[in-house]
Amino acid sequence: MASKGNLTLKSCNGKEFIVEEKVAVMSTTIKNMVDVDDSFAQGVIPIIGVDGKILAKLIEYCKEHAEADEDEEVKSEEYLKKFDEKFVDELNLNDLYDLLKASNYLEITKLLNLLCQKVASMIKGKKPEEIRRIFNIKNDFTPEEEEEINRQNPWAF
Amino acid sequence: MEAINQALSNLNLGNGEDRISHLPESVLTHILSHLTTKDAMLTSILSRNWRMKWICIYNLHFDDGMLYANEVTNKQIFINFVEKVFHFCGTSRLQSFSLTCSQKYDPFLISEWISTALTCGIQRFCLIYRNGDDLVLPNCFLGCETLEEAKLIIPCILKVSPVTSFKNLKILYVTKVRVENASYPQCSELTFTFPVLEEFSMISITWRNVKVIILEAPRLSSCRIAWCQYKNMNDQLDNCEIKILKACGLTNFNWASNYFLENFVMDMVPSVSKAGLDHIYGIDDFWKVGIGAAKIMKQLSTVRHMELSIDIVEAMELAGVTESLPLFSQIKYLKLESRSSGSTKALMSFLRKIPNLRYLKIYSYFPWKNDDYEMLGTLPPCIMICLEKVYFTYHFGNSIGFHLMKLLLQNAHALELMSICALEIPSSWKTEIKLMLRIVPRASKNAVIEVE
Repeated sequence: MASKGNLTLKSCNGKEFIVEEKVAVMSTTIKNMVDVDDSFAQGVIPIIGVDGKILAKLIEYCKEHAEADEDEEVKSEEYLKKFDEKFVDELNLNDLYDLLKASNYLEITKLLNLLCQKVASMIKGKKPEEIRRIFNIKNDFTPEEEEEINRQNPWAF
Repeated sequence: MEAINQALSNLNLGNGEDRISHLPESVLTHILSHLTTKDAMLTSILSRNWRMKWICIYNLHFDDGMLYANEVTNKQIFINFVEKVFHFCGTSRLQSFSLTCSQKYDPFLISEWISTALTCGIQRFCLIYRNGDDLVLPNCFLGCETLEEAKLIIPCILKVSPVTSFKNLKILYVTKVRVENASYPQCSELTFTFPVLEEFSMISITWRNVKVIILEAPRLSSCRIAWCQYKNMNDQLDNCEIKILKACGLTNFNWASNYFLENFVMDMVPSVSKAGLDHIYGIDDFWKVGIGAAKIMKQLSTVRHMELSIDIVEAMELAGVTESLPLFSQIKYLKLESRSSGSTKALMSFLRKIPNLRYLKIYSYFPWKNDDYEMLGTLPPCIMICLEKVYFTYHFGNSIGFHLMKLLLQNAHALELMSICALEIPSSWKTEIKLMLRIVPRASKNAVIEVE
């Protein structure tokens, strides 16, 4: 049972995390749940489809940013920028996907933005073959189709 | 190739699954919207699944420099590219529009693109078009209600009516635009109301037939007005009054001018903490510059960080107004930049108004005047008591202000560091200056001299 001002979040594989309310409500989805139904604020909030490992990551991110929002002096913009950089750099591709889905579902806008930017930076300026290799995308065009597409987009090559 | 392999191994590709293609549509839209439009559209080549994913993007970002280099075909390819994107993406979801052109295009075409974007409710607008002198910015820009950020670098014409209001604009950067008063001669006063504007910057703007510019911006925190010109109908330079109203939260103020044509009026005493004033000094008009600068400085008594051109310090001294300045007791950091010769006398007289100065930086592009420091009398208290660090950067070798360095070494009791950075100066001089400064007696035992 969480003490006052704290919420308990439960991952889909049963791991429970006690977090401060200000950290949890960085997620618009959780904020709405707590606002609408008081019982969530008392009991356990199930976070559907998000496992313990990813939930821990989400909480790590939200904690830093919630504290920074509260006190700009302690955590400067520059500090947060460095934290963000390190945070996304340490993710592998699977974690990146899981976090993208989770932050989308939980509506953690800042994090979703950060992660999308990370993926965008992996695509930016690269040739299609490179992008396919990085993300394991299978080229299912026939050679004729591919030629036709290239002809339509003369600027691309 | 090696870099890619390295990146691949870092990423830990899991089971080689293609998970990105199956992310929720909204997430993919976000990702693609973070790319330039060219890169976003390029994803249509990846696989069948990706064929049309890109058309959901809500940020359009066009840059003709990123397409092919052959000049003739390039232009048409770029035009086709933009039109194709407008056709596929539609405009209903657009949030931002950015257009960068390095070549010259039909002004009607560009104008049409801009109008299309502005009338569909975008929040961010960026236009960089250095050859756009024949463009007349579409009327829908002025007062565009949805805009939150606008950045324009373009020598285009903008016709302005007496009152313009940007309801949601938070950031406005304009550079090179030629603003024309559409109501001249009935009205020579232009009012802009920005209820939520926080950052404002106008650089190298030419205003025609305007006598008074009123900026009503209660949320303004940063204001930069640099190298602007004000011309009358005969194309002659004219003075202009700039009224900044209700800006009680202004913290950054930056002004630069060639001709000192502005007369600033503020109705609130702002709490500016960082200020910069720059002026290229004309020897004939030190009265105007000195008195004008002193008038601005009087509104800046709360400043902590000040950047000035030495010309302003000189002009205030020559005009005899330095004495009338308020005491800038909060200034800890002062940076002086010279585009003409500075003098120790004017500097010392100005430093008397800055009792708590800790850091002094002098960037000198011209030789320092060799005035006789022995005749200066008592030195300002800040030098004697609290000056900790002094940085000199010199671009000319002849007169290096050695006497000023000597003066500071001899008298600054709290001095910790004197750093001298000499650019375009032979290394023999560096050795010489080191030797000369080594024998100067120092008021502070801890003072370190660095020569780079």
